[in-house]
Amino acid sequence: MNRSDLKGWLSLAVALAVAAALPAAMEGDYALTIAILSMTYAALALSLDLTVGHAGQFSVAHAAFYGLGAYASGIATTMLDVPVPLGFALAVAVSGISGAVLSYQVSRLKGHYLALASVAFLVLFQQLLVALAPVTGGRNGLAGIPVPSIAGVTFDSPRKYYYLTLAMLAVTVVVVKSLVGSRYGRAWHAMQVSEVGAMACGIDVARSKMLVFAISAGLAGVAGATYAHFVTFISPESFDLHLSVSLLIMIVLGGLRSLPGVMVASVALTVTQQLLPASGGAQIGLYGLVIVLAVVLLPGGLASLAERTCLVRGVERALGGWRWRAVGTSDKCEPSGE
Amino acid sequence: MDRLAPILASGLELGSIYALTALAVHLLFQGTGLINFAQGHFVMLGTMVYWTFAVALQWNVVAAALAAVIVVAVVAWLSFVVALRPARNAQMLMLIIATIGIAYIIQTAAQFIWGPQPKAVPSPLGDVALSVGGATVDPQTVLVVIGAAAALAAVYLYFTRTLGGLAMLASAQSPKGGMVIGVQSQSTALTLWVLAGAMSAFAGVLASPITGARFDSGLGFTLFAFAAAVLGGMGSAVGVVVGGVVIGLLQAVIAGYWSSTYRETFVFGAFLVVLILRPWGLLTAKGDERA
Repeated sequence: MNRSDLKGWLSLAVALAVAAALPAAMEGDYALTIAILSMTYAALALSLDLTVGHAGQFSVAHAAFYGLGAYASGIATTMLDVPVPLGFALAVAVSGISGAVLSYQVSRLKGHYLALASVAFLVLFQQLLVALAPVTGGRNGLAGIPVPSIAGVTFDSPRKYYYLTLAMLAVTVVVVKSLVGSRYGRAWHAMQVSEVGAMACGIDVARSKMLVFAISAGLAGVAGATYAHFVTFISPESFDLHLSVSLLIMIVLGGLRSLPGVMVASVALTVTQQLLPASGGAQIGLYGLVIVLAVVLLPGGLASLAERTCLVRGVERALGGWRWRAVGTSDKCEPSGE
Repeated sequence: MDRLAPILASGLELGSIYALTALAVHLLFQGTGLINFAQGHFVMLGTMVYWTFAVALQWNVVAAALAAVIVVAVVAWLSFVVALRPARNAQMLMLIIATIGIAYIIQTAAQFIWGPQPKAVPSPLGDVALSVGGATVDPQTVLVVIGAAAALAAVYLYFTRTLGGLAMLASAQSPKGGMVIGVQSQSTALTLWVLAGAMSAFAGVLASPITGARFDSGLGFTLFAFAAAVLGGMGSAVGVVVGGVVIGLLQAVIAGYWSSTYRETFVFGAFLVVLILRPWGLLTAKGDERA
């Protein structure tokens, strides 16, 4: 492990400690609920960034993998009386395997075919939730999902559930960060830059795509189970195309492949969304504007903004470690080695 | 037999509209590699603008249809210049995401301009059913099928018989090769984008008496166009058109003989099965998949 790696992990540990101390400063369940949702979406956005950012595979199926996890654990724990931890494991398995199956054949094709497949997958998922009403509850949703109780602790209040969600987010961050730095992460990065180039280096592109899809879907599954056992009621609307688009906004706005950028953008967007009154049309239009502006004016996301203003780099250096920028971008603020 | 004829007719009608939109998606994808999530929103915009001219302003039907196509083409041009051209050096991925932004903006604009109420558009041929060989057929069906066929023929002739169309095909195959003979790939992308927008607008004009004009119908058109494009094989224009018709027929047969609730489930189920078993499409040979 080199020095910058160590700094990255250290700053993550500091962030975790701050996050763990945060509930003490929060009053009321409302603020805690928003915090829990923010962390859930941050975890989702990070796992989506694996496929979209790191591996360069466009997908809108993420809401479906999230929903699959939520429903898998929800159905298993309510109808089959499976213990909650096992429900979480089931969520990972169901979502991960679905991800692998979806990408199995399609990943052999070049171009953004996967984008089309992911659309079909999401629509079909929504349709099946309604069609299989005896199991899923249909449009009325699935109610009475049990609150998890692990090792004698029952997570029955937002204050307690906050820590369970934080643990889930921490696991996601660790998995994403370790994978990105591993040989798999480098293979994905090579693939994202040039598929032909990656093949020439001996990377099995189809297998790499399948792997990244399976892992990203599995992580979305855990996030889904965490969400389901928190709200105890799930319905198809929580897992629609609009959610996938929100997640895409989070990663584009944060900066593809930038872990802190994506997390900051997810939290900012979730909080805004929760605080602004939901007025249907206007919100959709606002999202559209944000997407277009982000793509046109800030294609590197918030991460590149931080890079542009070298002031932030200075602050960053002072704080020691957060790599607030996308992999592979030049850093004009860093003193050169000459 | 009495039930089959109207079911097939309505399937063919829907199928023609999907075929036209799917061909727009296909042309853009073949020419630029871009998948446009706003394609169906241009169809929706077509229904809205056509309603404005034909119903609200009581224009002549042909003039209203022409106006709808022109207005949508201008909106398409504007969206390209504002949202896609400035990001031309970005990854394709970012451009696909940008089309989602365009779709959202168009939908909200339509909601603010025309309001949330769906609008009925009367068929120019009235609603007295025609009798063809003992079966009754809605005259609008005939109009939609003939209109869509004419538009498809026009697109075919443009790409096979005119210099502009051939140059664009050349540029789509090899942007560098195109540049050697004086075709700019950026202007090819813009032309294709506007052409696809105009085709979608025309599909919207044809669809409006059946579907009405609703601000939130765009996504549905996009999804069915995607399904049609994949079913037929993105690599083949003929395949895409056939895919559109097949999807329309499948939808009508399921709705007519079973239940309209499960119609989408089956269409997208078929879509996904084809994607997993034959991702290169039903009508494209395996080696032809788009590289």
